[in-house]
Amino acid sequence: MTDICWLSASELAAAYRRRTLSPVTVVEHLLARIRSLDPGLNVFLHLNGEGALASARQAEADLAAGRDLGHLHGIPYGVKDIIDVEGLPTTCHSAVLKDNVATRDAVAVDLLRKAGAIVLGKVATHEFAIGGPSFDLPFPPARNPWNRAHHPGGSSSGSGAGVAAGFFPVALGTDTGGSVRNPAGACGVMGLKASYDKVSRDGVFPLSWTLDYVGPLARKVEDIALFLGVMTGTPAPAINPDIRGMRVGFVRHYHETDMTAGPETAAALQSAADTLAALGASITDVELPPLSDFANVNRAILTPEAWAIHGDWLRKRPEKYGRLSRQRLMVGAFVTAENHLRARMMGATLRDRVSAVFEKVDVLLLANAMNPACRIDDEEKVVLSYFQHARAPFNLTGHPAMSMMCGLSDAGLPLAMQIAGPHDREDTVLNVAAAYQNATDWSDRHPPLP
Amino acid sequence: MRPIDPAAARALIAQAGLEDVFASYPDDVMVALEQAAKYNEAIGALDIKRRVPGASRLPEADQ
Repeated sequence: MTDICWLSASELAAAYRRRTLSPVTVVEHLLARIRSLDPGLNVFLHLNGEGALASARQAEADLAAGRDLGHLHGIPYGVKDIIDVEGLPTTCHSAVLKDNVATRDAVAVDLLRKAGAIVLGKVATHEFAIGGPSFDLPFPPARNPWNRAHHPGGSSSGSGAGVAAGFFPVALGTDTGGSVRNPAGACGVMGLKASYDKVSRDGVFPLSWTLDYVGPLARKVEDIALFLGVMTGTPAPAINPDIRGMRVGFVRHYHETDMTAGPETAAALQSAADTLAALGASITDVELPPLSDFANVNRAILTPEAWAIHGDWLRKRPEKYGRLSRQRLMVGAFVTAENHLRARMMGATLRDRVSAVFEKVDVLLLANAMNPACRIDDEEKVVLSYFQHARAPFNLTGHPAMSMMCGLSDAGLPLAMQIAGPHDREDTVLNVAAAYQNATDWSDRHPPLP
Repeated sequence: MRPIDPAAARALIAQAGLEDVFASYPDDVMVALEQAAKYNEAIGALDIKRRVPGASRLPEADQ
């Protein structure tokens, strides 16, 4: 049998109902794994050991008594530490909120709690989802399980690293310029940013409220669908991996001319396109507005919104913030109001132009990061990596977008692609992702951990 | 990108109420200023169709 730590939420749910595994066994196993391996990975800021075990015992009793809350009953997951879980700290990985304890659940967490899911703990992020990876904060930055010397991506660093390390099958992250999809890609798992407003942001510390999204990271498409369903209060999308006849628009110019992807990333993207074609999809090159337009517009909106939230605190207590947060948050103080609002106007135009492309294709296939994760201690390359990606368009346009592994570099680091779909068509994105997952073995690969 | 004039930088810092932060963390403020200048320049250079929410219309004569 597959080690418990690598079982998906869907597989755990099936095992609970076959009585071959119990929530207590699973949570105990994962807690032991976390205690053994996390000192080298720094995924957890707060491990909810006792609370998770108590919830597991309750879930076990409920399931034994026939009180079945559904597929997520007894399923453990991790929560990015900018998302409130009642009774647990929400520090945002910052000295500013080091002693802050949430008094109620975020709406997404509340929905998951009502479905019986179990919070294993709060996990690492970049400070306030923007300042990292940093070494001057109260907690160390998370590390990439594929190579601890490398960046796990961010800002949902602990969510990606924890799923990849087999600490939990699913985690919640947030995505303002790609912060679910970046760590998912860097850590060789998958992550979905759904359509704008599909998952509630209530109870999530905002970075930029018009660009923020809450999304799941997982090792399997089925788990993304299960969590998405519960968090949106709708049935999980039924996955149909038959993509024959599906029209896939390949946004090749993003990694060939707008930016230049490394040869391994470019080859992996081409291979993914070939795989989808072999599964019966028709692949055609499509053109989107320039990537630089999305990046600049995204930042001209994000930074003033973030400054509106942090400006007062940062003026009064700048020493409470890490250096990278200070540098990145204060940008918003200097973007002019005119340019902020012009960026919004441009955003509306960019959204229309992307929506028009979806009249010709069912999904888009495009790059995520242009290169695999760099070393975490190479600040210059880390900063550069946040400018060398193709994730920003969909925060602006609101379209659903998912990142998933599509290769492994010679150095043993994951390579990733994105699949994006029309508004409210997460099901289409998940169908393509499931077809790719079934046709390849990337989602079964794990980092070289015990 | 044009270099930021020191006098203009001081004015922007004062306008943002960041004199005290600048006194303690001058490099951080300057990094932010330079990055913002890049975004301002990039957005300023875009040909942006003027759009406003709702039913408002911008007359051609205004353009």
